[in-house]
Amino acid sequence: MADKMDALLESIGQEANAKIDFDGALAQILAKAKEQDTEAILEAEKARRSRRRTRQFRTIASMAAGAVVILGAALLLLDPLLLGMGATSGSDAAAPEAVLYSAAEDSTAAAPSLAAAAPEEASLYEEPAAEGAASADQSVAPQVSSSSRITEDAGESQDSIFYGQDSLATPEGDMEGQFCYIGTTDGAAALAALEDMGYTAQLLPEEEAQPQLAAGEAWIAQGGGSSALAGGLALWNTGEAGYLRLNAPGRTQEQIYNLLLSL
Amino acid sequence: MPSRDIESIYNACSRMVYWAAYSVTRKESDAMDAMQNTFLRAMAHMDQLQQMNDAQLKAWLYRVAVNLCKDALRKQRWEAPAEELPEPSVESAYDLPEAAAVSAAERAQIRAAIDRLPDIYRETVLLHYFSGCDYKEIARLMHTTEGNVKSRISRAKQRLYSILKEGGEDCG
Repeated sequence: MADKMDALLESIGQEANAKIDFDGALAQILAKAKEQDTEAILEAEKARRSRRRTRQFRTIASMAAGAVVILGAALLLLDPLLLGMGATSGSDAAAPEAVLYSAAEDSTAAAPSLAAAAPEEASLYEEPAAEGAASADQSVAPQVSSSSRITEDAGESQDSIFYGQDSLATPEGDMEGQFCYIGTTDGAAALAALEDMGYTAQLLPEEEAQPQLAAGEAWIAQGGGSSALAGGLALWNTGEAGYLRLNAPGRTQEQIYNLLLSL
Repeated sequence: MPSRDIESIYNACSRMVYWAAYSVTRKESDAMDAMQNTFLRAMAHMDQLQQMNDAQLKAWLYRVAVNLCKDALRKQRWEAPAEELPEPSVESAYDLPEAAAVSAAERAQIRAAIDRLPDIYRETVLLHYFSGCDYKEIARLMHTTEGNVKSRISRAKQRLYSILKEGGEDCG
């Protein structure tokens, strides 16, 4: 019985094996393997391309980043607006100075008229002293030094001191003059000092206030001419004490400026 | 160590791999897929396989095939309930005809009966009678002894007798 079963099972096994296409299966396996190889090659190629693309992207990105950094640094160094530092703005500020300097040179170039005026100014300056007022002599003495300083500075100081020109109504009529900044002070003390030095000065009443002058600002008439009305007049907003008028006939603007500054 | 190519390995082991896979899947198409995938893996690991002797090579192929089938079954969430068959009586009254005299219907009946065997018996029967492995090879593949293999074959045959007898009685 056992032999019969063995024989039957072997027979059924052979029959089952005969029905299976093992050769066809092998062909399919080989075809699939080839397909997988091709796919693997394609995948590897794709991965290689992807890696290469990633590398290229990284390179380009790093180059771009570097370029941006360099460009930014260059802009910061070159553009004064972005930099916002004094070095380049200083050069900007230097431009007006250069203009002023050239203007000063121009005024120096026009020296004959100034030089011609100089002796006259000197004589005018010396007149009060010559008149024998001892107090005036003493008061003028410091002015001489300051005046000489201004004279040394020539037109340069004049240009840098005065910054505006306007005519103001004065008791002597409308006069042309220039604005400068003196600073605020005790008006009464300044008045007393001026009077001590022999000058005629007064504090203006409220109604004669000059709104054009800000606190500390002064207006000095353009003088230096032969006319008694020409120059020698100054209005100074001393601050809380109000406006101070100085009559200093024959004095130049620079002399009056230095006088007021010394108070 | 002789150099092998995939065709020589296939010719030597394809039946074993197929019937090992069939013992797990019990479907010819699934067994065929598993066999093809097993040999594709073998091709991918040819360097490794070249270092093995024949027994190791067969064991490797058997293990890969069975694992692939089990993975596929797990994916399909298909679990065939193991049918508990009654213990057959040692004395069987079924008179088995000669192999040549067995009709196609009876052969199909026996195939079906093999499929109904418990996993461990079915696998042993298929490897021995269908793939042509001897007891020693089966013992090595299944990590057991030759005695156990013989015992399983014997019990499987008794169960087949029993199944066929029941079928014969049903037919008669």
